[in-house]
Amino acid sequence: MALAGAAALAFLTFKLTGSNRNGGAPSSTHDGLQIELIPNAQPSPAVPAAPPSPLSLDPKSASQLQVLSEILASRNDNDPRMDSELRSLSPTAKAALREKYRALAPEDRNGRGTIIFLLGREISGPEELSFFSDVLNEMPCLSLSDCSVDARSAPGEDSHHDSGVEVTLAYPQLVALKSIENLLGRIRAEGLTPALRDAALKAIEAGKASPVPLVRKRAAELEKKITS
Amino acid sequence: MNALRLVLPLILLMAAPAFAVNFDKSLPKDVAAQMKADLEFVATLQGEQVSPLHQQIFGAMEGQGYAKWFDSRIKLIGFNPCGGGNAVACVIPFMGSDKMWVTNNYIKFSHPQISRLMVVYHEARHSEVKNGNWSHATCPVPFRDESGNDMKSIWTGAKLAGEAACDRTPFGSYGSSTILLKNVSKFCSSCTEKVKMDAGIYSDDQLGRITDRKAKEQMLNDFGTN
Repeated sequence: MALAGAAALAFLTFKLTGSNRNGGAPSSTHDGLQIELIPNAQPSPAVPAAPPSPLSLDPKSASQLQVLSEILASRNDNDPRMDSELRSLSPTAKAALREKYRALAPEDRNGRGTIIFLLGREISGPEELSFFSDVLNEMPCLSLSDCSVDARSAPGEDSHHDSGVEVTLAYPQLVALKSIENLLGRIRAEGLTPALRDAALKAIEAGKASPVPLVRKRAAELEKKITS
Repeated sequence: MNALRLVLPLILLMAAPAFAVNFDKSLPKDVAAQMKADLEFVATLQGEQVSPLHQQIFGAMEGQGYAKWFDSRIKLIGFNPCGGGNAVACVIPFMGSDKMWVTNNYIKFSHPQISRLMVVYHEARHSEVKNGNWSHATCPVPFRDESGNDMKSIWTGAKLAGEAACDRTPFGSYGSSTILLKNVSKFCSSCTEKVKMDAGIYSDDQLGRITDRKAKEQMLNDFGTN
């Protein structure tokens, strides 16, 4: 009876003492609850890396990079400047954004995905899609706390909390695919160059070959959607 | 001076926080600040229309409505590791169904904003004692995706088949948060393009946890995508 009751509540009840995955990592107590601290964790993804020197950018591009840094630091994806100011990106601004993407910690999934989103809605030439192919080919981020560490938890971890994690781990790649889908919609509507269409299809192929299962799945779904 | 006496209460009323929920002092300041900011964002959501299922669960797409919905379910937000791992938030019935617990992952992990809110509203649904806390259904055995591959936990790598990590109704925690996000993606007029895109990406993924064919069909019809 006790076991049945425990099982019934398993999805909602949790261990009140966390396990120490790092064998000797320090921990602290808080209101009697053991809280696990993770040493050597990556710096907080909320603090963006310094953007490229503003001296190398024209004033508008420098301002756009500054606005992006502010938005990422605030974690407010609904900042209206996302749509009002981070548009009409010059080639210089796009290059600076690609540099910023590479400079961001890989664990900063939302930061990286935001940059892909901004670049994705302004794709104007086939050469820009090679960056998207590179993003789609990236190695998987293995965990949200440290992309290089496959920090799987002990068995019995409540898998109902997984929901959404897989998407966030693949977020930059999924945004890349969404951007390509939107681009192909624009191509159909506006009749843009075949070279752009071919580059978009090539990027989808890169997605289908991604080392990330969810990305491969979404790329295949996208290909099926556009060819049907 | 008389004009100020008339206007000042109005200004104070407008400046009052939209959500009435209390934040326990156990919650780290930065986590509390982020959650308050996210809830303030929810309070700004506006849209001219919603799907029938959204209307049934949440009413219109109107920030104050979402705030009332949340406040009627959750009275206190506190700090708890929620079992560790990936958890961002949880409801623990034996510690009070009207309390939500939030972990450091709320700010440690780089989830898009709408994804954090998806979790918050998912967990808030679990507070409904009269609905059995909307317990999750056991995922079917086998549990496969459209390509015939086993659905697995991204975290443990274990198959989800047989785990209490699915829903068989549109009205449970997965279903209701999916409906919320899908409506944001389609109808939100106060959202940035990024928020709408994110809402679409995450809601499409969540739909995979709805394992009853009729429930899923009902939701797809509701979204106008069937």
